[in-house]
Amino acid sequence: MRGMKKTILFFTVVLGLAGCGGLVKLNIHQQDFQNPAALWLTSGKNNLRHYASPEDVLPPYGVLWEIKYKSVIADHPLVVGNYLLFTTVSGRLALIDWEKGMLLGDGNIAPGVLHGPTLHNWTLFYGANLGRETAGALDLTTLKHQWKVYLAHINTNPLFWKEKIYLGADNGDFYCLDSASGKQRWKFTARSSILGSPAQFNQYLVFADLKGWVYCLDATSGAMVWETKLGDSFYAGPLVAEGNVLIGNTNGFFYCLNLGDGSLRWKFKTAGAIFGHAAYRNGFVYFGNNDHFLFSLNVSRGDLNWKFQAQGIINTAPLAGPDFVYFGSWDRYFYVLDRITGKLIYRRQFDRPFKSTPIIYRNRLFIHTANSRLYCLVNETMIEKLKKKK
Amino acid sequence: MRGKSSLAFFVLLWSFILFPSLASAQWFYFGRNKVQYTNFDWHILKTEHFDIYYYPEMEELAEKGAYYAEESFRYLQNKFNFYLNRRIPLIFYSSHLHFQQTNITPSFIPEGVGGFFEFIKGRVVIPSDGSLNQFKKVIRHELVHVFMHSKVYYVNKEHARFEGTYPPLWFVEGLAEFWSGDWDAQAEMVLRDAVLNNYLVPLSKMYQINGTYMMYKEGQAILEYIAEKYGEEKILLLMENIWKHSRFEEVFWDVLGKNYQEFDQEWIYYLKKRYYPLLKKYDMSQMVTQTIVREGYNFKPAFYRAPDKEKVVFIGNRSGYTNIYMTDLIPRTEKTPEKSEILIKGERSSEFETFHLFSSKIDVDRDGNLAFSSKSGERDALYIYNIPERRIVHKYQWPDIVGISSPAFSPDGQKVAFSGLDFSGKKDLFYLDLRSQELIRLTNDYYDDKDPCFSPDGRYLVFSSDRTEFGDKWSYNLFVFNLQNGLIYYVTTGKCQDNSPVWSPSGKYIAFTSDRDSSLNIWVVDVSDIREWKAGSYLHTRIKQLSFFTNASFDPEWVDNDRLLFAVYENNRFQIREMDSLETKLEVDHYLANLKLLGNRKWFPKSLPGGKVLGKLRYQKKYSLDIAQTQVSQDPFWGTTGGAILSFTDMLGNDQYYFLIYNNAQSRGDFLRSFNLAITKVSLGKRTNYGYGLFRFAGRYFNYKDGFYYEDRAGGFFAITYPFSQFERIEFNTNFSYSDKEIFGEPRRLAVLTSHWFSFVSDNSLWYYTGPIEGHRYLFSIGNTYYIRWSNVNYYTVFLDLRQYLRLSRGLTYAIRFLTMYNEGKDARWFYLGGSWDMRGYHRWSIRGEKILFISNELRFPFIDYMNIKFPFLSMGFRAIRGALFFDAGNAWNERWPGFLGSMGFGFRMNLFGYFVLRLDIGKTTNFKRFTSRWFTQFFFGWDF
Repeated sequence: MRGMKKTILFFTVVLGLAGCGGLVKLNIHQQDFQNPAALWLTSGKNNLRHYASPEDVLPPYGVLWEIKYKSVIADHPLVVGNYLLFTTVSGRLALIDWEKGMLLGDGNIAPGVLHGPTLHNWTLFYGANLGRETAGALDLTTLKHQWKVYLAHINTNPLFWKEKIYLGADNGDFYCLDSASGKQRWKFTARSSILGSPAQFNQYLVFADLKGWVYCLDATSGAMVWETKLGDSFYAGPLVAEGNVLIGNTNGFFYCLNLGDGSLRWKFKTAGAIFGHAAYRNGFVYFGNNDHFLFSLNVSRGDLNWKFQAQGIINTAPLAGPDFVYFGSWDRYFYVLDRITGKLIYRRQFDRPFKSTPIIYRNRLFIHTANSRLYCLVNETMIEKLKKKK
Repeated sequence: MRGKSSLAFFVLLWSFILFPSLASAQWFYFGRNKVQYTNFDWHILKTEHFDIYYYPEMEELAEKGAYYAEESFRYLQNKFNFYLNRRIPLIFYSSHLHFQQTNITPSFIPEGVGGFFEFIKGRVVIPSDGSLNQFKKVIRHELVHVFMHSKVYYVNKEHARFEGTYPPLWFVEGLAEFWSGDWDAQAEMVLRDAVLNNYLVPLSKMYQINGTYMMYKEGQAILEYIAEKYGEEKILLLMENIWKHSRFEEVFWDVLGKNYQEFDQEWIYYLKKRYYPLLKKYDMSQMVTQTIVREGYNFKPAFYRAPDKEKVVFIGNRSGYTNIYMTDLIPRTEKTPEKSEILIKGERSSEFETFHLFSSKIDVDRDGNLAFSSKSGERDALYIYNIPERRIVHKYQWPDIVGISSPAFSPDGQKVAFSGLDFSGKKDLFYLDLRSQELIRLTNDYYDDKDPCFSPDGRYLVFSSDRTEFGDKWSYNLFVFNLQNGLIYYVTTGKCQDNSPVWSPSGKYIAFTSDRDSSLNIWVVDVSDIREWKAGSYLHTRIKQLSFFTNASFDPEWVDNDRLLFAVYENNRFQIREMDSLETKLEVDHYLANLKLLGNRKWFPKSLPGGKVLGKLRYQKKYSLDIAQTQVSQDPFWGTTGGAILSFTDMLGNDQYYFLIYNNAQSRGDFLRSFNLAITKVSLGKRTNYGYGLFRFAGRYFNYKDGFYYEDRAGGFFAITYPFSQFERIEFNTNFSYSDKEIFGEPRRLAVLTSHWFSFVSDNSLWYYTGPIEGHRYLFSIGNTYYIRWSNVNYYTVFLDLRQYLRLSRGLTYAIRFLTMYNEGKDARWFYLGGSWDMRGYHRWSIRGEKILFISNELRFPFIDYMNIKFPFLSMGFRAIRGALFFDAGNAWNERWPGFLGSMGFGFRMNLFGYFVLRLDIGKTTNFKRFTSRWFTQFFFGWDF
């Protein structure tokens, strides 16, 4: 019997290690969160989902480091302290020292995810789109779960607001959970699957479903504020800017709704399906479509500022910096455009297509090519200096 | 035993390596031939996403195909949310006859195959048939496969599912149909008939019709329903979530919230609600018309007024082969036997390889001359067959006309009009003056012109064409061609498919097939007011629906002004029926006017703009890996063998390289000595196929003549084969080798051996689930083997294997085989009999000698059509278990014939998964003086002989 217990314990440890076994505890502190504007703690950088970076990295670029990493990063990496972390669609969580370009550890946290996690202090909130426990909160300093709950398959990035977590699911359920305990506070059921991550501004919570409906709920009570039917499917989530809800659908239309009442302000037709999220900065919205174009629209008027043609589909969110727009395409090129004019500033070919969004942190550009590598790019002139520092 | 296995493997390897395409019907030396009649001068057209392989004669068609391909790519990248980074090879052919010659697949390509996607090199192979819309649809259909295959692969890979789920065939083909075209009259025809006749196969049992056209259409219908009820976004989700489960049914449940049984309930209910109300307005044709031809699958009726009787001539397939039949034009009931005479047998000889039963009509003139087309060698031929004399009187072929369809006689019988497909892929109208033998081309463009029919006064031809205003939406209208001035005028207009027009004897009406009411029915256009056809004449014609059937009816043929023959699809069969009392029906006024034409009178096919063509260059062979397979085997006596086979081919599959390497060493010292290697090159690009190679085979062997021995043999070989037609060929092969043979207990023998063989093969057999059921397979081979230096091995061999299959009835076949293998000379090899594949009841290879004689008789019959065994956790279905009664006789000898041995009994055969057959034989052996008292039982695998 004793021998049996030891054997069971041994296998439990082995399996446990095989599960989260490759992860390492993070050495992060409160002061690491003091400048949230610079950090990447959730998809789109903040709950407005602007995908806007406070800094640019000037091209031309050199590769400071690269790490082989298979699968596809969900949305984009998060950054806090010295750590770059991300989940892949295959359900792995990876931790990287972004300065040294070292993989510190990785392990499975879920059977699969669709969108990336959210970091609040040192707790990582994530949703899984398969398995029994489809939402969880993992303390990264102890690698212990604060909670794990069984909900429907969760597709969206968990939105953190006022100690609550908001998640959308495959079956149309939209949940509000207590961030400390995971207990459900309320639930709303949409008409169809929710694939795109919700956005939040003040008490407004907005998201869309696959049947073409956009919903606005009261973030505290879950009561519906408004809903609008726009037709065709929404794979992307909305962003909120200037009192508007901005979102594109698979019919190629990009919409602007009034945040207050959901009325349609304008819509813009493109020739290709829009599967990816948009970015926003200073009155302009940027998004790509499957007809290989990246668009810049004037938010107040809904007219075209410029459009740029790549050679492959663009179904991830671009990144809007102060002067440049950054995005990758399935044609394996990484592009940098002038944000105002749309002129091509720089492009570089890689080995695989781009299925996640780049981020910028501390003068470094982090990009991932699908099923291949995570790159850290810096301005070429900085390469030698930074390599020495490493 | 291993020696024989090695030798057999060696021979098998050679035959497999050398002639994989020739061995497609069975393992060894029979099989039909895929004949490369045409020398294609391949070029490549490069576009943004495609490498398009074409030949110069069809360059214009290739540019149109390029446009369709790029257009489909843009469409599908949105549908799949996926982008293909690799360049896609598209191989175009300008006709189906050319397409059948492709070496990209070793399999024979039936007429019903519109194109295919090959997984290994990602090639898409597509023929044109004269219709640009059909070409466009097939391109898109195949590209759906390309996108789906990649999408599913990457979804699984990105979720670390390396043995990921793949969608079932109904979804794969259903999606390709759903995303490549609209729900059309043909799809409607299949579904309506299945629902109204209660044979619709539910989704939960779709495996029962796997691979059939019905499965394609049901798959398409299921996806149409899912899109309508649940939203088209669910279809993409079925692929994007495929990684989540190990079975597609679970993915289905996950996405739609229903398992297959629940889905079946609602889907079938939906179909019943859709189709049952049709019975209020429409009739089933069997209830309101006379059945003329019922049995089998029957198409393209042609009326013949024989001196004594009224007859119907038609193309039919009722036993496996397609033939042209003739029967009396009398109504049949279930009790009235149908006696149809075969006028011309098809699919058995090179003269009549195929009659294109789906697409080519036939015609009979008043003198009893039958005009029909058939594939005959490289291209189609137009035949004139005299029915009273029962003989072919004329055969016409033209070098520039690849395909011929729907020949029609002029009223005086002196001209024949037909639709001809030329080398460039254009399908146009032609007519042949039978007196002067002059062929005149009437149209010359990319519109699909077909089904011509002369007016009773012989001045006009009515035909169907997509040169209409809505032609780019796949519409066909009827047109009239003025034979005097060459002008063409509209007869019907509208966004529909009007086909198969035939002028009534009175000249007042033209009957045709149309899908104007969303299913195929017979319509007429009243042209009685038209004296001379002009541009606006169509506005003075009137259209009326003649048949109101729930099931599809088409190919009308006037018997007289009051009766019409036509084909119907009903209860999953194609029958020929007759409508009468037409004069009364035609007088009733429910006529419609033609739509007035606005805007462009015809459409203009698009081509890829010059700027989008990245380059055109001549094809040069580049080889890439096709197969790489390794194997390790362990035998308790002979030990371990390990090896690999690699195969490289060029993009078109015309040149193939095979590398075989394996080692059977039992100790380190033996390693080099036991290295086996073979390199083979096979060339299939021209009509004459050849192969050559080098080999070295070494190892321990066993045979009954020498016992155990070690042989090290190295040499080379050359083989050449020339097909006369699909059915006959001659072969020659020669090889030489240096042989170092050590027979246990005997002196070592060093020899340089050479052998030369000449063979003639003829095979037109028709296959069923477990083996041939009709036709024949003949092989005659003669060869010589000798030792160059000392001549102490020097023998010649005659090999004769004759197999005949006599079809006694639909399910019953009598098969007879005569086999002799005869060696004469020094140190001749032995042959073997015994076992389930020849002399049943005797141990495998237990009868042996330098000469053998063997006769086998077998009566093959159906036993169990379908059997389903249900376990608590799964059910298994078995189809077509067949029975046999057999009688075998033969023996082997060296010097003196020892007398016959024999066996007699019964057996069962079952095909598993379409790939191999299990066989069980029970019987008694005899020496022709008495039978053994005990019964033998032999269980093995292998096709019937």
